[in-house]
Amino acid sequence: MPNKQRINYLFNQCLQQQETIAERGELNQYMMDASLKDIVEECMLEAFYTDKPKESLPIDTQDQILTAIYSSSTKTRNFTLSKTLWRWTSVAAVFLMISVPLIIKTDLHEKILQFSFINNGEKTSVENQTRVEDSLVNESATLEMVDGTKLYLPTLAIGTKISRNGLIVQKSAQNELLLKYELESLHTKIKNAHHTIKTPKGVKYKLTLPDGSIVHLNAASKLVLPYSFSDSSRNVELSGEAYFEVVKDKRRFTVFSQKAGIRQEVKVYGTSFNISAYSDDDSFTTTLVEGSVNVHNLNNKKVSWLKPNEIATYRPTGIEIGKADIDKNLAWINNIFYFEEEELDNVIKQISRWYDVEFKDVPDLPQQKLWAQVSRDIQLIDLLSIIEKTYAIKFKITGKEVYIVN
Amino acid sequence: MKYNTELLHRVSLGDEIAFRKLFDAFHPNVYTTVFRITNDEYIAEDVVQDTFLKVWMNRVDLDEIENFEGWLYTIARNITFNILKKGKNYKQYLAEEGESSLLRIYSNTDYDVQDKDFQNLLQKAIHRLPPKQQQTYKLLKEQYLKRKEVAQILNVSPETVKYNIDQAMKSIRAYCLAHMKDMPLVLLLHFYSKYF
Repeated sequence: MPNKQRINYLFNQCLQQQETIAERGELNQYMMDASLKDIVEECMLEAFYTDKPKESLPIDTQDQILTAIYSSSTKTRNFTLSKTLWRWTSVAAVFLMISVPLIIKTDLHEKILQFSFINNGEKTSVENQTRVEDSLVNESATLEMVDGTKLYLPTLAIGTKISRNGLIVQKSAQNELLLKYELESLHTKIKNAHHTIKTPKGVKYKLTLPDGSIVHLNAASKLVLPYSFSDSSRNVELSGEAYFEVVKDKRRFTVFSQKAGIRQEVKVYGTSFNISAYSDDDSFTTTLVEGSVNVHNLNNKKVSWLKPNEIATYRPTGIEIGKADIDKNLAWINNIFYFEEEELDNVIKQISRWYDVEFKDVPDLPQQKLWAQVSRDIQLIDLLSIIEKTYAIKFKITGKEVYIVN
Repeated sequence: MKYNTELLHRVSLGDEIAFRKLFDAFHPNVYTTVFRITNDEYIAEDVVQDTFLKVWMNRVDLDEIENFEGWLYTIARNITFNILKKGKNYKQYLAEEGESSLLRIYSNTDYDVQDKDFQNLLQKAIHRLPPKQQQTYKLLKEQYLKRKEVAQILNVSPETVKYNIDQAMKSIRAYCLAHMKDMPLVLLLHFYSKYF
């Protein structure tokens, strides 16, 4: 009967590749001997810690193993929202290649002339034109290109495809854009050259970025795309709010946002998350739905890792991680106002972003909290009457202004 | 130290780049140790795959494991002995039944391949393969064609056929292992790849 010492010796001989044929045979015999199981297993564990010349697997084999491991897992958890999300947008997204008269004009004035047909063909006075101009600027979703060309997105017919400045823009459905880089722009690097997509109050857009990632851009928000994505990174800039479904590839996807006291970068490879970075909010929030992201505080270079269902709240004082309420934070994608123990202050911020109104004489009522889930299709006046029931206040709508009467 | 808690934490969040780093740091020791002890590079390769599959499947708990290295080596050791034991049974079975039994295993009429659950799982695993690998697998493993013949049919080089079948076998093995507690036959798939 061999003792542990003998088995250890045989193991070592093998590990150093010095075993004789007889020793190899002896070890093989012990390895299969059920009565030696415990000793052999103990020696085997020690063998891992023994110093020895090590070999790696060929790179091809390594890649194959990792591919096999990743592909083995059951499909990544489907985020329930995304199934119901945007169902309405998929209605008849017909891709007609219509050649439209170029309604993209760098000169805003020409734009207004083209737009005069909106007023039933009536000639508009200069004052009216100014008003149209203002409303166009304020109410249209726009895409502003590197050279200053501005596309007024509502004026594009569905199916329209425009190629300019290295970017192919296709309006695939109402409030949806497909963006692709032209081949040449992929090989051109221009620093500080951007395309900017802006949504006004009350309008959301769904964007498919050149890498296939999907961005739901909330109202009153702005997404800045570089002239092209580099080979190693995909960097965009956000102000306002957006829900990202980032397609996994080897280039890191970074979302940069900033305002006074806050400079943030959210870095991911492939995952779904929501960023709210409105400059009139006290804080930026990043809500992770699945995968992993890290949130960089560029002011002090600190990095926070988020797990799914966690939210990072970044105030000028720093970043805090907490448990996220996904339903609440992503309700806007489902076209819902979701107020849960919400203070009046936050409630009216959300309302003013959606209905494009300004609240006046807002009282400070920190004790009173609102609970409500309301469709965003509701009329402003109906929504306000719901809120009136919670807070002991009355609203008075005057044009674009809402006065609060205590 | 070859790893740190931050790396494990990142793996626990599903970060594939962190997992790759972990794999790079530890697989050479697992591979070399098992190869030297078993004197079988195929077994060593399978142990590496099965071990890291287990790490990946249990990644959410990585944060709570105090001694990762010890945990990893224990898994690797247990998998090694499991494969050796199965291999011994299998060789015995081959010796008793003769080489022709291999064909019967593949035509699903014998041994534990009869297990319906396993068959279903295997079919699912095959279905999940990318088209090229699926074709290669079917021609090689279900129609028993030679690698050269498959290369001709698919109009690719024999090296490509080898690469595709290697990846297919690994993916099938990982998928089956991930979805069944005990997978006697699939653990032995590498034997088949050697015979065919």
